[in-house]
Amino acid sequence: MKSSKIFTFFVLIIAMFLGVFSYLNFNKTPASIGDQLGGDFSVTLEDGQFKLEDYRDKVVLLYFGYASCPDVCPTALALTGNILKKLPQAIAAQIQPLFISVDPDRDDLKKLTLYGHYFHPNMLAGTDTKEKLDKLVRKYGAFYSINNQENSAMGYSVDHTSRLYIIDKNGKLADTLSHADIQPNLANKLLLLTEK
Amino acid sequence: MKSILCILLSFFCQNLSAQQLTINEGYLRATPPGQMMSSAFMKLTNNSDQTIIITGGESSKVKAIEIHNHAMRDGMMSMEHIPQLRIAAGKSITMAPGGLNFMFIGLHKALVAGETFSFDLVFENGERQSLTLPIKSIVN
Repeated sequence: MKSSKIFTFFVLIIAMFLGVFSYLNFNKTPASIGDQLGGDFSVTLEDGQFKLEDYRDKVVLLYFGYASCPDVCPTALALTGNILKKLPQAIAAQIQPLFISVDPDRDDLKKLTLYGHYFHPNMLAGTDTKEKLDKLVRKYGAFYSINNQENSAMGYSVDHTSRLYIIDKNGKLADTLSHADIQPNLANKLLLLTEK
Repeated sequence: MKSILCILLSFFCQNLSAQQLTINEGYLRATPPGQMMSSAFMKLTNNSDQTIIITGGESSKVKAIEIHNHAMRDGMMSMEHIPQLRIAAGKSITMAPGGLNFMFIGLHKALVAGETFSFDLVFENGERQSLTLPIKSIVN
């Protein structure tokens, strides 16, 4: 059962790569990333649904991870939260950080709310069913994969892309920052997408 | 007499390993609410003329302390358990965010910034070295 699930997952990943590859080959004119990836979505929070379409007046910062991630996720989220805290109040008020857990089995919504607030008082955190999450990560060009840690007390970890998606006030994916680019570039990117 | 000798011997051994392996700039990360996982980072220097092999750590305050490493795999951040960390004679290894770390899995209590945490490093030859590290928050 487990191995067939893993197999199906890998088939999906390969299919995804092939799909993206053929699309890129077909589309010879260079397109910006925002034309291909991103778009409206909803995800479940402790006190209801987060719907991207409700946030047209805000720049949304989206990160996919999992709460028991011991290093990479907290680093990315702390960097993001710390940068937001340093921005002028009027700018920060135009930004909505959002953490989406791709580990709904371990992360309940109550726990996620506290987890988000730890990194920034305005950070929302939610998750959803595996089916919905899979569609959502694909929509944004993210990946994740359950990594069984047979020799570790962790049980399993979740391999995942560590990227911060910057969604502008029109709901369009404006930019994607890799893990290493958050610290040097996030503040400047946000200043360009907000009004003084 | 025998037991005194044992105690003396173990004291000597502890001192010896403490001299052989020095730990600098070590700290543990404070835990976000509800999370019983954390990581410790440090610089380990082997001052001896032999390879030092660390297999992990132990403490009564946590289910397991393991050495983990991060690597980019297919564009994804992936973690793997390292059963042995080998530090060559005279060399240093830096454990830093995004790379090598001691992973604390199943903490019995939250780690609060400003407090300290004590645990043992466990070596392949069965020796131990106790360590007390400060707990730091990465959130400003």
